[in-house]
Amino acid sequence: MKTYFPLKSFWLTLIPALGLASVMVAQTETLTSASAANYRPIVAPNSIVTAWGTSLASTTAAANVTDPGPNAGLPTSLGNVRLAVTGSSQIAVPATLYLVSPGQINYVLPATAALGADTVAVFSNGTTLHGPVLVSNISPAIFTVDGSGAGMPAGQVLRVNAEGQSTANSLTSTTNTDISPGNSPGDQVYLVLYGTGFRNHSLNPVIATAGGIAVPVPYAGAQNEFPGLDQINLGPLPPTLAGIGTVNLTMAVDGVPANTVQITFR
Amino acid sequence: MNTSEKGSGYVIHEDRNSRRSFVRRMGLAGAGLGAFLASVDSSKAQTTDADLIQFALNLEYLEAEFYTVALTGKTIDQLNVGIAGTGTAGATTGGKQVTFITGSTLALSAAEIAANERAHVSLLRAALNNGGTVPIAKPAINLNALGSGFGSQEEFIALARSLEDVVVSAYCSLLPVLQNKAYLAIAVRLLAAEGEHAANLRLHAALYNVATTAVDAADILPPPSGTQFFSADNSYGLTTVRTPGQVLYAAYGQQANQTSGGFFPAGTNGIFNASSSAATPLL
Repeated sequence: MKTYFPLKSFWLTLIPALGLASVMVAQTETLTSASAANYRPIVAPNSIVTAWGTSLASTTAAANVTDPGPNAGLPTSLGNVRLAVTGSSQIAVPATLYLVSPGQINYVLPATAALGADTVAVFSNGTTLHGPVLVSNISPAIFTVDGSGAGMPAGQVLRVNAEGQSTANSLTSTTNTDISPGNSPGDQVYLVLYGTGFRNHSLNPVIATAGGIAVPVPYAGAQNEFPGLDQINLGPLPPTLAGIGTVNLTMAVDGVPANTVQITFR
Repeated sequence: MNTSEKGSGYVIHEDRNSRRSFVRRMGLAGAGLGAFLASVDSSKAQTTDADLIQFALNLEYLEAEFYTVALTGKTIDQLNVGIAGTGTAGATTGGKQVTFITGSTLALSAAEIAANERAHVSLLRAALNNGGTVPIAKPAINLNALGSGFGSQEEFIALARSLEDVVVSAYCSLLPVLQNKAYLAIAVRLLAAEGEHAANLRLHAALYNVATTAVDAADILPPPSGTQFFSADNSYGLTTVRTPGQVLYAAYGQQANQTSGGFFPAGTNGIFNASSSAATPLL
């Protein structure tokens, strides 16, 4: 099955969304971790996680991800802040960092993080803060354009014509992108969405629906350019979606649902 | 053509040999069951079907408490499930609500199982009452017996898997000796339900990549710790049988010759309260 990968530059446009989240998360612990995409408290190894707290860093610093690659050169120390995850083995594994700020850290949960209840430690300017993190093999999450975990998903619409030529357009909250299938005879339309927490899925098929209509999933796994970033390709979209309007887009991986997002077919 | 007759003859012949072989190979299980019955005969004047159902009720109390606390943070009596009766009543301690991913097959399955287990408690209590026997009270239960089970989805799966496989094996030892058809009709459907629970949790253990630990040598672990999705022995396709003593060995924290411990810190109620040595695998 052919896999379509996104433009490298696209993810860079998402970096602000992965920056300081506007979502309010209840903080009953000193340090609270959740999925950076849907703020679910259970996260997967090798996924992008956001930690909230106070006095986590003295300044805001973002990793340089302009030259992405398999490891993207993400640092384990950023703005004089380090973060480590300790599981049942009591071995502290350093995490790579996307961003640190006084109230928030975006990090990649190490691939070797133990499943179950782990502990996150933030080392910042001579102080150490601890908090729990629940780690499960699968915790699928879809990034959204506004960073809320709801609404328009972060991704692209890919149109492939009968000659095999493709054009890609980013999904944005302000652009009414034509993602309707079947506008031109012979066209095949795909959605390429970005998320995190589902690369470890089994060989069981990933289930996706749009407006209750099953959508093929030719690929769901690591995006392979940015640490922790996963990608799901949906399509070719069935012609029955044309003109259906704004509908819920659902995805379930090994029986675990991702956050439901919305998309408009015209 | 006459192939069907040939086929039938072949099958019958094989069945006879298989049965002889099967009985021989069931020696360990047979010995276990014999020991169970012998111990019953020697220690108690009469073991009734109600005694067997009461033993099952102890296990259903444990399962119901485990799932209910994990799903709701409440105990079964707080959800108005009856727990009063004969024997020594005790509180349920330990455990807490587990954080699940809402809408996952695990969360939905766990909720269904919890409801099933509470219903099993009520069903067995009603069956005993209908048979003229006052059900046992819920004994003291320590959900933190293993120090694990509620900290994450993975801990939950690991403990639930153990409980389900052990309870299935318990029913497998109780059913063959039940005489009362009314009890048998219920118990066989309980066994089927527990078997479905076990299969569900074994599959979730594999999907969630949860390491599991054997409760005894008869315990067949699911992936990734084991290789079999089902706990059935590959030679005959049959699940493990554990006598009440072998069940209590697991429930008491892998302690032989004890009358309390582990999940039952004050022991079980009813006549079956002593653990035996651990169950051994069928050979």
